[in-house]
Amino acid sequence: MEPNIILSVKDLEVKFSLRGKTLNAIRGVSLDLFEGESLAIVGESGSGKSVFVKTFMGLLDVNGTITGGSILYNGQDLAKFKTEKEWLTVRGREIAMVLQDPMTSLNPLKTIGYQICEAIELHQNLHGPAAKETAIQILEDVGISDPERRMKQYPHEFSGGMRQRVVIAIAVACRPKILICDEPTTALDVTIQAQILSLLKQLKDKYHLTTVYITHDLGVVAGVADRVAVMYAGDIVEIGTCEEVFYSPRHPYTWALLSSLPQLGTKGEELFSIPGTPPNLFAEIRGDAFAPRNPYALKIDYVKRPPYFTVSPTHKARTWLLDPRAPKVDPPEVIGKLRKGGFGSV
Amino acid sequence: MSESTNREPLLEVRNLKVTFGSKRHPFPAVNDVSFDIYPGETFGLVGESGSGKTTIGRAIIRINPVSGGEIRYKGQTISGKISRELDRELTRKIQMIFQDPMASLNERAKVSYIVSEGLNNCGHLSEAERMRAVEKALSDVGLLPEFASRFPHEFSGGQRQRIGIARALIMQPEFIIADEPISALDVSIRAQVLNLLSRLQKERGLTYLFIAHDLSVVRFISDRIAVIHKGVIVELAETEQLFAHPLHPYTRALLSAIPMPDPSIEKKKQLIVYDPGQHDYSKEKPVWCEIEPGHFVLANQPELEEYRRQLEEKPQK
Repeated sequence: MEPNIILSVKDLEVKFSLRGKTLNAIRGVSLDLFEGESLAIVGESGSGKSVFVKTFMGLLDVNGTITGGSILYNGQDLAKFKTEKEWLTVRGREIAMVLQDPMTSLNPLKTIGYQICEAIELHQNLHGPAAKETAIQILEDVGISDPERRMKQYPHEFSGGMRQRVVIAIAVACRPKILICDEPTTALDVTIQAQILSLLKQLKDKYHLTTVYITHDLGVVAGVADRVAVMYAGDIVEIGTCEEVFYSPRHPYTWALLSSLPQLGTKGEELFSIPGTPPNLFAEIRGDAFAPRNPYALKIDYVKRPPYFTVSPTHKARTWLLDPRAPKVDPPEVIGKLRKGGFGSV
Repeated sequence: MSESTNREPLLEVRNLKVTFGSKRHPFPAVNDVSFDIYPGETFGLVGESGSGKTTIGRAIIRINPVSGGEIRYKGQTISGKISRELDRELTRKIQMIFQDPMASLNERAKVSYIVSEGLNNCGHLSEAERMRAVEKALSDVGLLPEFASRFPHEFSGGQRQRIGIARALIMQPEFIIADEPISALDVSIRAQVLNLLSRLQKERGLTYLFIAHDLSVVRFISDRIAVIHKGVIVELAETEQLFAHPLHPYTRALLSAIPMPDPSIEKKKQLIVYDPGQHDYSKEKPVWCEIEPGHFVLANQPELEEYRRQLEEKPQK
């Protein structure tokens, strides 16, 4: 059974103009999003993961433009959208977003009820008491107790975790097809983080959402994602199902990201850290962008950009190490440990 | 760390209480907290936001006034009113590293000033001596000496955090309070800062109080861990002991929330939610007691018996 493709990105390029210079934020990314799946996009800050999903909603900053490629959704090419009017048919209604910081994404001057009803009235043509009833229903769904009383309260009366629940309620209130969560739990405590993630999982089933998670922490997405895409310097370097990426990662950058997790470290030993800094995206990148920081880099990595090598029908990676002519390189030991499930007594 | 029990503690916290708010509406942020920190160890303090973990750190460096109990550093009382000389000495010996490297550095000062500001408090140094100290501190944390003439906005998050560490190191402290030093950083940079902290500890025999909300990070760096909930420490044990045999329900809840980078574990994980109402403290108040050597837990008698049974059931590692 082949799942339906709900959103299809082809060779997307995004450039920003900054002080007269051009920054290549997204360098030819292709990605198919399947209906009903949950995809996680993982990368360091500055890897372009947020910029990438912002193009789906027309939320790029004014100095950023899509210079090539297409984003097909529902037979429309979102990359060709120019006016705000066009975007309003998609933004919120079809594709909604939950932002990182619940402190800044709510209006402090309006009650929670007002902010949810606003979204419902705009997108579902419900008004007055009907809108209010729907809002109460949704607040209950996101796990806020006593919603009728809470509706009349202001954001400052909610804790961080509760605020994030409200933000999720607003996003879901528009009945979108795709829900994008941009670092939904980075600003939250570990206990609250786990609760919010399980809430998002529940909502996904209940509202038949397709979810996209963006995060820098691979540990967070293991439980929620069906597929994982690893981004580096404006490009997806590896994509596969969750099991494939965690248990048999192929790209050295994925190895590096996994081995720098403190959960995998052994106390008293050095934790692996990625040397160097991400590449300067103002300059033209030759070859593999990760090569200068890659201990396994081959000569060709500095010359020619690797194509995708297919590992399995669902798993592909952009690294020359997968070329049949490349020397055989074993991933670091920590990753083997992960495969056997031989770590952590928790 | 069995040897730590017979050593003299570097820092002793006894029945510490910190209260905010007015006399009429007092709010106890930290309530009756006691622990010892031994020289050369890393002591992890874990709790969610609002649990009072930062308040404890700030009480130790005398930012928050103590409203009960006492804090002793090398046997000397350092809470409440102390002599000026002692205060000056403490400012040098106890240093702090802050959470957000974007907010904790003065945007309008050069790195050389930020790093050396603390030196102004202890004696006069000539300009050349000051610069030498700055360069030494910068190279200790893996930054280039020429960074001294730059401004904080020119650096990435990880580099800024290193500047924050250099600022603490220049005072040649014995004890460093690291208040969530890596929660604002990316995963890949976290590893660098954690490695730096443990390298410095080995080289200089520093003692850390490591405050964090993420148990997985604390596990990696700490020798002993205290779990704090609503201003009260509920469990304290050596790291591996705490992870192998967590007793208090709140500790279990925290452990269950650690995200594991393993899909099969993570997908069938049962999240434990802590409900303070599950304790029946109507008949008997909980007490802080040592259930096995080095493992403390907050419980009343019936709970203690239950915990003892759990410990016996589980095979010792």
